[in-house]
Amino acid sequence: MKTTYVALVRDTAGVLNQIVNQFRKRNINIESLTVAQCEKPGLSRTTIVANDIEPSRQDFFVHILMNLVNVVEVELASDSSHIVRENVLAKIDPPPKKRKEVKELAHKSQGRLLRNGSSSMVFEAAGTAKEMDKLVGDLEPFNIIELVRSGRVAISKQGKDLTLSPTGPGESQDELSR
Amino acid sequence: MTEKKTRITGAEIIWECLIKEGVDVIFGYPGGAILPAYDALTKYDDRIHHVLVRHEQGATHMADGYARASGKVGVAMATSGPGATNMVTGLATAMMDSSPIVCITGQVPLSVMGTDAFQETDVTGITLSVTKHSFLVTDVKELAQTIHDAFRIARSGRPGPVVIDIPKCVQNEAVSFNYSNPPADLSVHVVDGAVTEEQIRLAADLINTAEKPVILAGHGVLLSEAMTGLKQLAEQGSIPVSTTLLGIGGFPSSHPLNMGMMGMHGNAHANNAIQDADLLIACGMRFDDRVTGKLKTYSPHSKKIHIDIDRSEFNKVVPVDVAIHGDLKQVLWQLTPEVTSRNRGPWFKQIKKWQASIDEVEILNQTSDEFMAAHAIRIIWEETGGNALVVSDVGQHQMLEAQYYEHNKPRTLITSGGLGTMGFALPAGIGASFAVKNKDVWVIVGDGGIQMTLMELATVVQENVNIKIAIINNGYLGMVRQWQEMFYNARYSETPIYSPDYVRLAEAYRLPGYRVFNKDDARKTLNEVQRLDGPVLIEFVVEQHDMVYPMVPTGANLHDMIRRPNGGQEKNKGRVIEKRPAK
Repeated sequence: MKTTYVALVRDTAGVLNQIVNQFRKRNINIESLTVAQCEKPGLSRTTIVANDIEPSRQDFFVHILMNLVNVVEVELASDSSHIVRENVLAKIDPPPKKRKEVKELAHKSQGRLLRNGSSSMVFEAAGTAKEMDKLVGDLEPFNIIELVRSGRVAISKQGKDLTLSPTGPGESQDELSR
Repeated sequence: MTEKKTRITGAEIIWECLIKEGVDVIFGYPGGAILPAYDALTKYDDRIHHVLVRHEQGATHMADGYARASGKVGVAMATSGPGATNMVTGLATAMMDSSPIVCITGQVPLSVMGTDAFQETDVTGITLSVTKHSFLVTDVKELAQTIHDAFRIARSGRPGPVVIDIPKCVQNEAVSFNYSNPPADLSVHVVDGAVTEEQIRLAADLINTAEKPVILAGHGVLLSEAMTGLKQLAEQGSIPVSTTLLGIGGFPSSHPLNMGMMGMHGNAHANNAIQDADLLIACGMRFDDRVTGKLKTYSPHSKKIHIDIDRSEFNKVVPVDVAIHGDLKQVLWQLTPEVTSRNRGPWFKQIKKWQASIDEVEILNQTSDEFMAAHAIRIIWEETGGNALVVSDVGQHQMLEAQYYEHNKPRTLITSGGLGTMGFALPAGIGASFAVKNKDVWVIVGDGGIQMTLMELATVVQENVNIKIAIINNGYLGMVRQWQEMFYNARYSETPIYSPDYVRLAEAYRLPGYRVFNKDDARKTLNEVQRLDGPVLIEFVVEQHDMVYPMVPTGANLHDMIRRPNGGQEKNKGRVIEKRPAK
């Protein structure tokens, strides 16, 4: 059972360590973790996919992450509430006769070829994790030399941005973003 | 106030900020990477009293004891590397028991950080799991704000320990510092509760329709200062109260609604009431495994209301019906007016019946000349009039203290509950004595625990700390021995423990030392030492074979308690320590 969390965190040294530690100390494996700066200055948005969290424990991780000083907001992401995507980069070395098929696959899967060298090709695609699983399967006959998956990133489907939780006296959303 | 700007060093900023946070005592140990701060202290030692400890673990426990006795943030200081790593046990102790302390550690200069420099350790990394937050300050301009944030984090929401790691170069750097402008409360995200009327109504409905409710009062009662609110709720709804170990003092022991402590060594009638209840109202407690017993059979027929400042505690181990996230004191103010007065005669009759069954096997009701640890603690309670601030260590004497020293006032029992840190009591007692000037502080500690931190006796004498140290000496690591006797076929593996001659040890440290062997001696000596001002050490040489009852074995149902055998305990079957004090 995979669980996806989306967290808004301070862009500061050690914050990932603090987040990862909450999973590590409960012996939970993180399958993927992405983090990068977001639209709010000083904050980053991270998507964490963790394995083997019982459904009854999913909220618990929301709350323990929220207890971290450098974590501003946490959401439990689901297919119904979020758009979840993943990026795949694959370096392949297909037999010369099959290069055309690669181009067709790129077209069919809405991917593209970033490099079409004499010894290898670099294929890029984005989609749901399921679509990317299928794509990787489709690429296998073309001799995959190296495969990189970004891990999932998720964005809420809601019209407005993640709402910040109630804050202490005198605090406002802007101040939290400092 | 006019703005007064001046250039001062990071080291001086530390003390300026501590004074601003209201700190007047700090527990620490100097060393290379914290030398600039200690040098700057010479300019501030008229306003901040520094207590030189003998081991940095002691500094953290002292800060912890000070915090728990005063309700304020306790502060400890140490150097980098071993100084900081010695603090880890104290940080973990404070973390488990939600105690607000700030630990300031020196760090190697930024220019050599990450090069395995002399006395370098990754302090923020090492302390990650045992602190609420840890800061590494890399810019002196951020130091004042960071110290302010650290104090705010330590005491806000669910309190806890915070580390500030300050490289030596940051302490040395001078910067323009504004005295009159306190840092803003903005840069820290603090979690507060959000209580809705709906939650209050749901909780009140459950209370008003319950026939057999029980209030479970935890450490949160003291941390939130919700003692009055708790009493009002209990009285308004005629609801019996049971406390956790750390909740002791949150509800007067002598109150007719108080059933005493719950859990592994709790009162049998309290445990029975919890198991038979149709409603549990958990106030600032976290259903620790030591209070629930086997989770599957824990209070099986009850609805559960859980009030806590930490949302992650809800449904963590025990599923609850109504979870109220907020400050307990405020929640109780809202909740109690909605609670209707009820006559719960049959419920109290049942509880009385359970209580009568334990009186039969109560050690104090058994006639015997034997001097048990329980007698020693009961005599301390009698002779101090129940008015002391007691700091207990970990083990049998800790449970017996909880059973036989009755606490009617909050913040009169300090003990390491969650982490169960042996060696906690002496340093924590020293710290507590700096918080309470008008109260006797009694350290009650076993012969195992005292030997873990007894180097702090020198601190006691150097500071002339007014504490009374009661060593309950049974020649064993008693609680471990009890488990060995009950669950390991009485194979007493490495639990007999030799002690030094404590009276001569006291003499070596130049403090008065006493040894007592029986109840009469104990009463006489206690009467005498109570009149002494300053530190005293008293060794109570007690029977080796006694055990703490009742006991719920690990993983057993909370109602399946092992009771004290009627007619006394079977004599010790194992090896005894030969070199025990002779009568």
